[in-house]
Amino acid sequence: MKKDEKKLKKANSSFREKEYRSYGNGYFGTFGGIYVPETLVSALKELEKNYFKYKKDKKFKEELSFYLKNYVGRPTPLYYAERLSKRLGGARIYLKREDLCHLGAHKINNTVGQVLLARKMGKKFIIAETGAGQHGVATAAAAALFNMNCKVFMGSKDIKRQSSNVYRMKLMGAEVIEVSSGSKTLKDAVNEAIRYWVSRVDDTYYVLGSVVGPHPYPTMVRDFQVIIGKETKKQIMDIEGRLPDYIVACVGGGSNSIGIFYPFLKNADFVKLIGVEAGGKGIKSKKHGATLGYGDKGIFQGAFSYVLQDDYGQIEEAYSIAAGLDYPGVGPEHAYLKEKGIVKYEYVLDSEALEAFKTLSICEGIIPAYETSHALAYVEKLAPSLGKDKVIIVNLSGRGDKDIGNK
Amino acid sequence: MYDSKGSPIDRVFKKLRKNNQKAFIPFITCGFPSLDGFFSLFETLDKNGADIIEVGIPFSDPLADGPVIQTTSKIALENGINTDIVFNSIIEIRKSSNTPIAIMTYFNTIYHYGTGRFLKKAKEAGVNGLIVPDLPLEEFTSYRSYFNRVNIDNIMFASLTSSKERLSAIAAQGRGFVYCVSLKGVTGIRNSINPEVIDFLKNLKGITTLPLALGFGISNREQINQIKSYCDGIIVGSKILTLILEADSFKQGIKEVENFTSSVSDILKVYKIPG
Repeated sequence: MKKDEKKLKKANSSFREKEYRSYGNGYFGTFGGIYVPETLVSALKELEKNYFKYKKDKKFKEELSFYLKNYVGRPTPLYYAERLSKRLGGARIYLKREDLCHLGAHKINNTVGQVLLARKMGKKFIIAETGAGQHGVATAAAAALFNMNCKVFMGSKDIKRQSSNVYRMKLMGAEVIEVSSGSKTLKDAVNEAIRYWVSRVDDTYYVLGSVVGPHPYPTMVRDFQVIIGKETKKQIMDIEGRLPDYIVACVGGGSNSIGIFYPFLKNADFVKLIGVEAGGKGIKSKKHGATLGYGDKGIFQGAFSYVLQDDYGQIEEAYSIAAGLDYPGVGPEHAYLKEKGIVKYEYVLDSEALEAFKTLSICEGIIPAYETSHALAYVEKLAPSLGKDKVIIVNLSGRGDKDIGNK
Repeated sequence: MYDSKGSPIDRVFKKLRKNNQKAFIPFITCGFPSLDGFFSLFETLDKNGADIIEVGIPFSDPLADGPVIQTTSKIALENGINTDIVFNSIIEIRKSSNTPIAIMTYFNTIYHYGTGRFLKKAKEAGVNGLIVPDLPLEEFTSYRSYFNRVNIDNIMFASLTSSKERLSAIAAQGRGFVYCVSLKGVTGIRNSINPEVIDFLKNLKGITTLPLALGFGISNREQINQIKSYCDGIIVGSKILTLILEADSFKQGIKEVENFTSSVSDILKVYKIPG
């Protein structure tokens, strides 16, 4: 009987793997694509061609791993949170410490990769969008590192609520461009960055900060973040001698979560993968960022995915206490993983995330970002229901210094 | 399929070509500055020489548009405009005008309504063409069959950055006319013409027999005089909407649109001996 079960599991996972590999060229099932104005198509094709060329280039890979090690500070530790585990009284909880990356979040993994690529492509100018400012700061740093001119588009509302990140970007030589169109937040910063890019496609490289937007961004950004999952897999095997039972990560656009999930997708039959979205003030209040849970399929900012929208397809504003989860879209690969049932998507409320923010600070002396606190809040509910033989890994995507004094 | 005379948009260009004249194609946002204001604007354009009128269904996140059309879209949405109201407005217009209408909107508006249902309703309302700036060739292919079923011209974009192979494919897939983008950038008023445009249009002429209409950034007579002999039509949006946005009163704005429209269509309708 047990043997049969094993066989079935094996058959299932190899089927999934095969199906999973069958997508490519920018589509995840029917999700993804390049829903952009014609003027941008050639720039995206140029980017796609170069990315796939350099991805296999030995020298590029060496340079990237040099900077990931010596500049970003990789590998980041996989840390057993003993006091937190004991307090919750169930499963053993491990934290993948992306908060220990240079600048305090996983964002730098992607920006170092993309700016290095931009330099190889001979581009002179870097542009980026930012919401909370973490991606803007990480892009500004990479641009400074590789001596490139950098402009960061940021909504005027976010400029006000994340002033320390604005200061950091400027200090590293980036120009911060205030966006006062639409809701004056992340989605409008993306719109404005794309509009700017259309007018300077020849010499400008757009560093997108998450696994969203048109192809090749969702694939490329995921590839630059996959290092999180690769390290995790090796580390947990070294420590526990086996794969974890659960991996939990927060989902805004979805880059830290896909980064840690990806190497485990083929094990998804026995490693449960859980993405945690922003429940904000509750789903009924309509003030949330649970795009996968409560949005509909649609086209937003260059890709076919899930999106928060009204009855006529107008994009609705998202809401979350965590600026990084305050986005009405989500990466197309997540839409695919949801539809196939490979990853489960849950949500937690602002209030629960705030509790978890305090709990981790007190138990472990680690102050997590509000975004990350969503994943932790889910774990607080999950862990007590599991036995001590179970292992949960949380992607601790960023540190919370930016959130102190900001409610 | 269409009869040998082609679609209403084809017939406009055929007739103009015979007289060596060019099409004037203004763009306005449905529901801007109000629903009544939109009807007056449409009528003003229709009576003063517009050959085809582009009507925008407002979208919350218009990626290809500059500040003016962003503003008019926002105002229209605040006025409560939605896809059904746009279709009903066109039904109303069709009681008194046969001027071809092309709808401009972003693909999510269409997809969310249901692509088949959208095209059927558009056809029933009297829409003749559809312009979707975020549906390039790659993505259009999946939806092509819907267009064939309803005989609405899918008008495709050609850009200064499109490769020669793409331009051929765009010409093969598009109908009605080719929407030629005169600049690298978003819609909005510019004062001059990018010199690359002339070669771009000449090149396109060699690739397709579809009429070429030039849009984005066109706002004055000098630009139009400079470029008109290389294309079959001119699209003007932001300039017209700005005349309304900046006028002291709507009445004053309409008067300015009337003057602008008739002066532009005068240039385009002057008979000039070829060569």
